[in-house]
Amino acid sequence: MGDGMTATMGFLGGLALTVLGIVLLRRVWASATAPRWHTLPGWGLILAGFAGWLAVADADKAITIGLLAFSLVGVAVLVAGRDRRRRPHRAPKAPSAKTPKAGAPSAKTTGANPPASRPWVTALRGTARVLLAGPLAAGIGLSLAALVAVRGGGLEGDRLVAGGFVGPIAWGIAMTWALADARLARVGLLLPLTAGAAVAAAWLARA
Amino acid sequence: MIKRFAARVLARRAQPRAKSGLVQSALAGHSALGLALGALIYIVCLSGAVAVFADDLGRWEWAATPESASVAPEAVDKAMAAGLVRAGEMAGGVEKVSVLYTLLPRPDWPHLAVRAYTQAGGELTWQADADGVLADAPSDKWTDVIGDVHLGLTLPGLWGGLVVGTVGIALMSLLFSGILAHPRIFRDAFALRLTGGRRLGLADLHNRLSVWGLPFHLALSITGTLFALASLMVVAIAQVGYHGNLARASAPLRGPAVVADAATQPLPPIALLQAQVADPTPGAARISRFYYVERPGTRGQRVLLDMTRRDGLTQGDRFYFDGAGKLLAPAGFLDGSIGLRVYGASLALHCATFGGLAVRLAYGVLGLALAIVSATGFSIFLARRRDRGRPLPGLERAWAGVTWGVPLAMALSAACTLVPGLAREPVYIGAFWLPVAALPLLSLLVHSGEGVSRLLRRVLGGGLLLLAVAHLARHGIGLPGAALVVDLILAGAGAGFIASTGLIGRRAAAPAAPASVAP
Repeated sequence: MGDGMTATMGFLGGLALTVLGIVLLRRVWASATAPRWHTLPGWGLILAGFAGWLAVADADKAITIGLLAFSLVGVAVLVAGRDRRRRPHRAPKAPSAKTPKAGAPSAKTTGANPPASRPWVTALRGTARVLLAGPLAAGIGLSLAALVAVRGGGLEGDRLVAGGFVGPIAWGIAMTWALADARLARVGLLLPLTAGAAVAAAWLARA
Repeated sequence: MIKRFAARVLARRAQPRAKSGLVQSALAGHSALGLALGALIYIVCLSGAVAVFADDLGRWEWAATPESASVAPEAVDKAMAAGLVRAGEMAGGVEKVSVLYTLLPRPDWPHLAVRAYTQAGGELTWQADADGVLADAPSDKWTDVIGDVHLGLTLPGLWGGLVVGTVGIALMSLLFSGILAHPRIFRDAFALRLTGGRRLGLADLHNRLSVWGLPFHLALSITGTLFALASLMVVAIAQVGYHGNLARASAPLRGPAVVADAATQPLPPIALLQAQVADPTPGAARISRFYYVERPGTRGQRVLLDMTRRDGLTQGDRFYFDGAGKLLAPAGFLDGSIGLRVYGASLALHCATFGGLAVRLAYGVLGLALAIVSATGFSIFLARRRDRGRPLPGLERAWAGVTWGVPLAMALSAACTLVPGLAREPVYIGAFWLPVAALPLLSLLVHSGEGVSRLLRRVLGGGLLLLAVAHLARHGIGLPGAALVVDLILAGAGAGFIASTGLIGRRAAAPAAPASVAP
């Protein structure tokens, strides 16, 4: 079998297994009672599909193509299986500002929303959150990038590239944390501490 | 013992509460960030989805120039020498030309073009024919402007990268918080209820496209921020680790140095360079995308040539040469250290330079999905406000102006390529940003967000149809196949937008919610 034939068979096999795997996932997730482990065959087929993609191209390109195919087939199955009922669905209930039911967790216990407070407190908390999610999150990203690039192991080029990846990812995670954590004091304490520690460690190791 | 057991039971019972708190907090943060930067994220994502087709749109734009997938090496040398002379004349001396950059023909982009950057910050591009003869006048590429919008919102200097990098970080953060805020996002991955209430439809579209595009969206946002924020990170690394020495900090990615020497030296022939780095295997692809020279025309010139070496994610490497054309070293994207290989692969991954048109189409679909996710996120907020009885009609109209105004501005800017006097970079930039700024404001004059959406979709649809027809009329039926396909796609998209407003065929199903929010 020639290379061209192998690639064609690999493409078709990879595609078929990905489609089958996603259709299986759809069936399991559509059931309200199916246990989680029932998704395993679906995931298994999708993973097996990568064997097909590996016949199409080298590993790096094959994995990328496999992931693209996974996303595209998922969107295609989603669109093909969209709900076509003409009867309009009920819009989801909008969360209201009503008093929570007795026994339901209050905002205070969940830590989700701060208790109703004076406008200036709200404004202050908002400003603090913007500062934490903006400049401080950036600070932690840049300082961790510097730490990895200066103090990490391996060749200088590898460290630089690793720092280049660590920086934005850490920045993004810090931004998410600063925006999602209801306990502002915890974020306000830990973010600057981590950033400071990273800068200090990198500074001590500088060339 | 009983006390410990009771404490554990209580702790378990408390877990769902904590989880619910995290979900609500994450949702609040997700909404706040999306509202704050939604418009910029949308512009960056949509321009990226268009820019991935830069080669194809470039062929559409230069449809009047005969295509040639390969030219003789002598023609490339002739075009470069002529480009250097012309750039020198315009800059006031060859020594004032800082870089000469030649875009070489290849199957996906069968044109030859010479670009010169001057020390004064000028940029000039000349098309060349298959014999290496330059066009009389320089030409600006609209596709480059759309690329600049994606890379830096056409902002000057490093500001563009900083702003787009920050937008990319926000996008990454939205992807993270979106997962935290929707515990059932994977289990509901197949629920798409577009015929129901407006908010339900928007939320389903937003969540479903997010979850299926997640691997792609994460990969693109991480690699995009890596490139956009590279300068800022190098500054931080240099300050912290190298006493502020930027050149020292970025040395591993800058390639071998060549000592500057102002003595005159001709540009090395491309055949000499390619012979040193081409894959010797018979039948192997020998495609170079570009030939880049710093300090051109001097003995201290440093040459960089791209050369395809394999059919992987990273298609080739970049090779450095000295002023006489002697190979110094490869950049290391193919067989360098792991970091350099990852860097090279990240470039290919972000720019879709592997796999040809099929991969570009996949990127286009998933990039468009990300733009839809950005747009619908803001619309969900507006719909929720309306459902709660606290609508924001002004913002609804303005957001519809943003959503449909950005593609309309791109179409308007593209239309300038067809008018010889307007085919200049400043005009493209103005024709893009002016509508982007004005349409949300003008939308306030329309009675509702739905009205703005319908009106702008009709204008966009009509504009795309007109653009295709005008392009065909200008270039005739003898235009290259790729350009014809682009025209057909533009016409089809235009007809689709018009049809979506109910102007053609059966009217789209009316949404269930009595008061709807655009788009």
